[in-house]
Amino acid sequence: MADVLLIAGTTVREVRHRRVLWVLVLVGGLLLALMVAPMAMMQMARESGEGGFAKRMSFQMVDMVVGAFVFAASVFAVFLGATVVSTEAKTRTIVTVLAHPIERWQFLVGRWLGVQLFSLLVVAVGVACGVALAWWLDLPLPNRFWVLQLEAIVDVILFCGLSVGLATVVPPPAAGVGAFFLPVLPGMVESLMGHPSIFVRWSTTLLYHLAPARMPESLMGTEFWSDVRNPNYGLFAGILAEHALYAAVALVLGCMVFARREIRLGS
Amino acid sequence: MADAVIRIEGLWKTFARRRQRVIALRDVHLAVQRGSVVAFVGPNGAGKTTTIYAMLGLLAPTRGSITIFGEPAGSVAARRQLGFLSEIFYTYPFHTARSALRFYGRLAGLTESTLAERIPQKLARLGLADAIDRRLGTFSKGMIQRLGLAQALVHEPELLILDEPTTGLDPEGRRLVAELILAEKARGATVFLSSHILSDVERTCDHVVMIRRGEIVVSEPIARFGRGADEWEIEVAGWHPGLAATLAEAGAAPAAEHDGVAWLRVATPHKQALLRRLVDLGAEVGTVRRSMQSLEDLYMQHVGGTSSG
Repeated sequence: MADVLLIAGTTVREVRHRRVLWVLVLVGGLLLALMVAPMAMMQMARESGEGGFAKRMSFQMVDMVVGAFVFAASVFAVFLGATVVSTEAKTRTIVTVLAHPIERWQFLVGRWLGVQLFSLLVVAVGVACGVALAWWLDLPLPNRFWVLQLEAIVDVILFCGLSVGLATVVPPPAAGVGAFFLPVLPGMVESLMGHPSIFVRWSTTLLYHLAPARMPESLMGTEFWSDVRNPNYGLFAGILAEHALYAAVALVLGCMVFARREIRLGS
Repeated sequence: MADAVIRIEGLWKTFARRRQRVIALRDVHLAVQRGSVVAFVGPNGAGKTTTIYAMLGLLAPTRGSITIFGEPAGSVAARRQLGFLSEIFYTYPFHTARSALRFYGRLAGLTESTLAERIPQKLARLGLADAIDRRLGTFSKGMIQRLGLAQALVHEPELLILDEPTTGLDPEGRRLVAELILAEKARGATVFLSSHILSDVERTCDHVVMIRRGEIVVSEPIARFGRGADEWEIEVAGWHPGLAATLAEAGAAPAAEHDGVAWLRVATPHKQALLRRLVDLGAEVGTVRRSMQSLEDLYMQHVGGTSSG
């Protein structure tokens, strides 16, 4: 475990060194710029006594802040996860590390953990910013806000596990594309599962079941301030657990492939 | 051969490149004895780094086997007592010298207390004491290479694999590497040194292995070369196939042949017998001299002109 943590710590430092933090600063700056207009509108609504509209605007601003960070975290999870081994091969640092007595799986899990921790840290910063904004706007956050953040966290875990796992078998761009598309695949193929052609019907059914389960929007809604009729927490938790398990399986399979793979270095 | 630290048997390695099969190593056999310093010499593209990467388990043999300390190459057990430095020490630029050695030392299984003691020692030995807390991004190429050596030595391994370690080093740095190799040998470690610099090899190694286009062409003790050589060269004029066949039966073959003149090389104990035989055969014996073949002569004879880099 100590070796995994060592690799993870170095991965986090490497990510910081790759100036990824500047992207976050850019996200923050863009958010501030985008919030000027809604803030002004909210202020005007408050002054004109339209409390309901002002509250809705406030919720939307909180949602926008958190959503931007979650989106950035998802992009980081996919991009950094897909390049987690290739960057080490490109810089050739992998040779010295793997000349040491560590298992290949320890190396891959360490790299995954580093990217995962960094991505989750970005989510945490986003949630903290959202909570701070809500506090500043004197806005009580409903419990469903936290439920939806849990979903965002599991999404980031899924993206990261998929991209790291896929990157052990396909080149980084394909791994990145695959990690982005696999979670949305069920929604894309669902309508074709009743197609008259048996080939299309069977292949789409297979893809539907191979991909991670789709989270129905009606289950928890997309706006944390809106009411959802008869929320199904059990199904919601089940799908989240399946996503986390899917990420774990992708990572384990990736470790198995990576343990047998040759390390070819770019010239 | 019982106490071989590295044992390579029938190693073949092929790569598929642009729908073509490239043979990088062909039927390589090698045994490196405990406590020896073995030079692995060959031109660029001969297969030195491929052999080393196969020893580290980064590349899988197409055929054949490699064991390190009796364990399969690439296994954790094989890498436990191994220190490695690549041609250029590629590392993370955000580390300081201290944090880099701590990282690699921890990976090698050292405790924090051992590292706290060893890191300043190793860095001082390599002339990097003043740069212990400097970021590696500010290091010169030579300093990085010295740090790479410190990284390979920090856990005091029983086997040191150095892939052209003097790349980027100035003469002082090269001398330091030679001294370190000799110090490691004195400590009882085994050193496998891939190098182009034959003077360094002659200074530090016990045995030389030459590789050419993926094949081992020479495996000889260093003592055979230079002033310490225990061989003689005999010039024979009027060399003809009949003489060659007769001498071949007696176990003597020409080391070089040109325009009907051959040079036979023979170990000192067999010199008189061969001379008598040549006289009996009526051969025209010319100069008889002590063999002064240098490592460079041998290199040029066996692998010269095959560089692909």
